[in-house]
Amino acid sequence: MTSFGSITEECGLINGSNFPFIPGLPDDIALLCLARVPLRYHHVLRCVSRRWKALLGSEEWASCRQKNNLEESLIYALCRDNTTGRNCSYVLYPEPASRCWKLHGDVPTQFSEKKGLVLEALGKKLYLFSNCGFPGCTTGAVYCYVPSANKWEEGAPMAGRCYFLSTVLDEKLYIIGGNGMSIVDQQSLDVYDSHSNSWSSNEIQIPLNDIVKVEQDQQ
Amino acid sequence: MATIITKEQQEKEKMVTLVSSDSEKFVVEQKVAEKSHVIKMVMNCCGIESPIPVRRVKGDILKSILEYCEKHSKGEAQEVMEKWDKEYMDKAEKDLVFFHDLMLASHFLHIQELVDLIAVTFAGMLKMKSPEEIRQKFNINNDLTKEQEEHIMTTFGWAFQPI
Repeated sequence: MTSFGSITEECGLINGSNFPFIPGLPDDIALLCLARVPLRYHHVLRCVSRRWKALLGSEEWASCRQKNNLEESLIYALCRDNTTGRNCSYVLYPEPASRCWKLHGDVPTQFSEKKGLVLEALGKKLYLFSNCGFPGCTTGAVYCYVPSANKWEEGAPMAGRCYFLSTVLDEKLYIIGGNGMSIVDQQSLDVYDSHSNSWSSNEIQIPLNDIVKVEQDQQ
Repeated sequence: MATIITKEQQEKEKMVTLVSSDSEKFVVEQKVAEKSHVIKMVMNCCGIESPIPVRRVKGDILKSILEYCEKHSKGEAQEVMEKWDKEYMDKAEKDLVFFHDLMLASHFLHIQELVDLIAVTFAGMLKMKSPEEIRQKFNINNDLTKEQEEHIMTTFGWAFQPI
């Protein structure tokens, strides 16, 4: 599976159409009903009409699911095929009836054979980057997977750094430690804000050389 | 002089009359009518002495809604209620127009439990159906081409095929 279709072009259809989602029901009430359909049937709902398709990829849909505690999770895994040397991703829908890993597809071309890939979930998106330190391998490229559109997008690149650790806290991605281009990089913490799609750098005053794991303290 | 209120009178005072849009009258206990947040507010501000008009809701729908409210004001065991709810919904969903009206009325009257129950039942009707079956059931016009439909199925459906 190499193509990730463009699904967002019809979002304008959500509002201002003469056709209701469900004839006989106002749209806000129809949305309350439709949002309760489990994730495993969403692709079927997308096929009903252009308006339903646009609805399921919309913010309105996501926020209705969130407000009513209807959000469901998928588990993604990144794998490297040792025979071909290619990276691919798998997904698991943790529901008994379909609990098996499915091949999701190739990762973006630039990362298809890269080593040291890291996948982090941030909000409703997945972020993919590499902490590989082999000569010529270090890259600051960041790719972002948007499940509601089933599409990879290019994110703001990070500063070149390798063998770093990453964690997600308060809807922000933290990159810490490892080797950078200069000694300054080693004593800094890079923070990615998904809302503004931008990185910021902060100096930190702790010895970084021996960090092996970053954990969150929710307190 | 102290006024003596008999038990009978006390019971009587707790009754309220609701009038549907087609002028059908329903006399129910106050605690039953209170299940509707909207009616509760009306009762709080205007009292229960005079009949309360429920202008947007027809008699057959109001009757069904009050049946639900009455059952849910008794505080019975959860298993009993779940079984009752299921039978209540099985009956209601047979007639789609009635089912839609029930949803609209419970939403209008702010009976959150019933809105949730209907929404879940509604979502249940969409499970295990093909897009065409959904269109037929709800009378929805198909404006997607066969190719677009197939594209969506393969792009979004791959993760959810049963084993």
